Amino acid sequence: MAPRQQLEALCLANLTAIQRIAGAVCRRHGLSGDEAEDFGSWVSLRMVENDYAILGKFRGESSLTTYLTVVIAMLFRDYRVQRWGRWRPSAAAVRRGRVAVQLETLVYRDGHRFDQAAEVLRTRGETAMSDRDLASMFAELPTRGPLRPREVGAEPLAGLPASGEADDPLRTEGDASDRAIIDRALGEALRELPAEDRVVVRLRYWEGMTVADIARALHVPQKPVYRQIDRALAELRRRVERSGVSREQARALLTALVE
Amino acid sequence: MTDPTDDAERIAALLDGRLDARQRAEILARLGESDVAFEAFMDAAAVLREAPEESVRPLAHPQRWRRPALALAAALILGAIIVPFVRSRSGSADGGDPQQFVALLSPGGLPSDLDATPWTTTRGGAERLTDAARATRIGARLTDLTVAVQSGDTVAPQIALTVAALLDPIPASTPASSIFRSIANPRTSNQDRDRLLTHGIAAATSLAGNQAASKGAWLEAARIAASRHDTAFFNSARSRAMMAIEPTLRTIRVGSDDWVGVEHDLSTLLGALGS
Repeated sequence: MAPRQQLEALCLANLTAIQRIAGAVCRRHGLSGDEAEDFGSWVSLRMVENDYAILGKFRGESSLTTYLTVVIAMLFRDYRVQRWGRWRPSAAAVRRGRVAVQLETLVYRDGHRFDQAAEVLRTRGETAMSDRDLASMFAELPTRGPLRPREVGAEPLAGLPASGEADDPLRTEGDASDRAIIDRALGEALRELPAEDRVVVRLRYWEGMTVADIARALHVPQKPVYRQIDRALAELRRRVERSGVSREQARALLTALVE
Repeated sequence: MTDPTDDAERIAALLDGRLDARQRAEILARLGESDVAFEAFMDAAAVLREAPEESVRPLAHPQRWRRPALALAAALILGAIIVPFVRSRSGSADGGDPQQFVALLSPGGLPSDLDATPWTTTRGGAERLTDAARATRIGARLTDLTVAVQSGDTVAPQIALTVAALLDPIPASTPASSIFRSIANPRTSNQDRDRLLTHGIAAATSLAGNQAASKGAWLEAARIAASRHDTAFFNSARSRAMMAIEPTLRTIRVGSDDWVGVEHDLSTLLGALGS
């Protein structure tokens, strides 16, 4: 490891860049104002801890910019856990995609009312869906206890027509059980994919990254990524059907995934 | 808390396209099994995509950095980070800082007969202090340190280490306490020590709590003033304002010739607040 003075010099020389990267990470996660400033200071303190250990571990295998960006992204996760606990999105939200995950997080983890959360998503450019459409999506997610007691709000849900019949609870319970089986089958099928295929599929369909961005991040040409995704989806469908899910359900599952 | 460096560089190298086939396969496997690694990869890819290629500055040539300048620069930058960070939390009125109180004193060093620990202490084991008591002690010791540094007293390093030890239990105090350890370092020049002290005082009082630290700092300066029979200190506008706003200070018998009694009152009060 470089001497302490050199690490100190490196840290001081790059404090502006570190703060810029921290700001970018905050914007990505919807933090602004006091919270973003708080995170920025927290990152700076972590950088100087233990005689600048984070910088001391840099081996030069990547560019310093990229290394600091990855480190700060990891630090954000620690900060988030400290601040909000070990929040994980529900499997149902993950299956429905990025917007569902963000909606669930805003309402149940961050304590926003539904209408506030919807507005945040639209303001961030994450979705153009109306309150009504978002409410339909939200209604399909499991109810979760908030980390802090906050009003969730159900006004948009009140405007939706009732689905209608007396035996709906029984049917719903059956649907929920089927969904759990399908979710489990999909989860297992994903785990059995080769690692790179798994990463690509997750980036594409759970995180909403474009193929161009995936290709750029992995330093590969775009066309092979399209072919890789097609192959991975076909393999996923085959494995899901093999686990006992019907062909129709498997088709519906994969269709929902790619739409 | 996870060590962010464990996978960070390999993920960064993947993003930079610098891995061979075997290394790439290994890190992709890691992304597939670790949510932490996957999220970091995803977030970093998004941030790098939005940011232009960076002005991150590589390691400077070591001969260009002299150690004292480095310590000073570190303290200045850390002060710029720490003070706004904690000031928003500690809030509250600032009655003055140790350097302002010491500036009111007549010239001189630390009185040799001053009771160094007017507060009760427990023998053995770590002392458990309230936040206010800790802040009071920090304020008092910062006054002692300021006087010692100004007068070139050889006890200054010991006092600086005492301040660092008082700061250590406070969350996020590592950078601030490291400033005082730098002050205690015999290789730090006098000029740098002065500048470090200014930044260290700002950081320490903010971390500890401005009000209680300010009170402790004034009380210690007042004890020193009393031992020197320094009427001007107590007659200064800042001291009169301090005594006016703090009910506990109104009991001090300033104006009499009983300096021993005044010093005793101040010591008793400082001891009570710092225990």
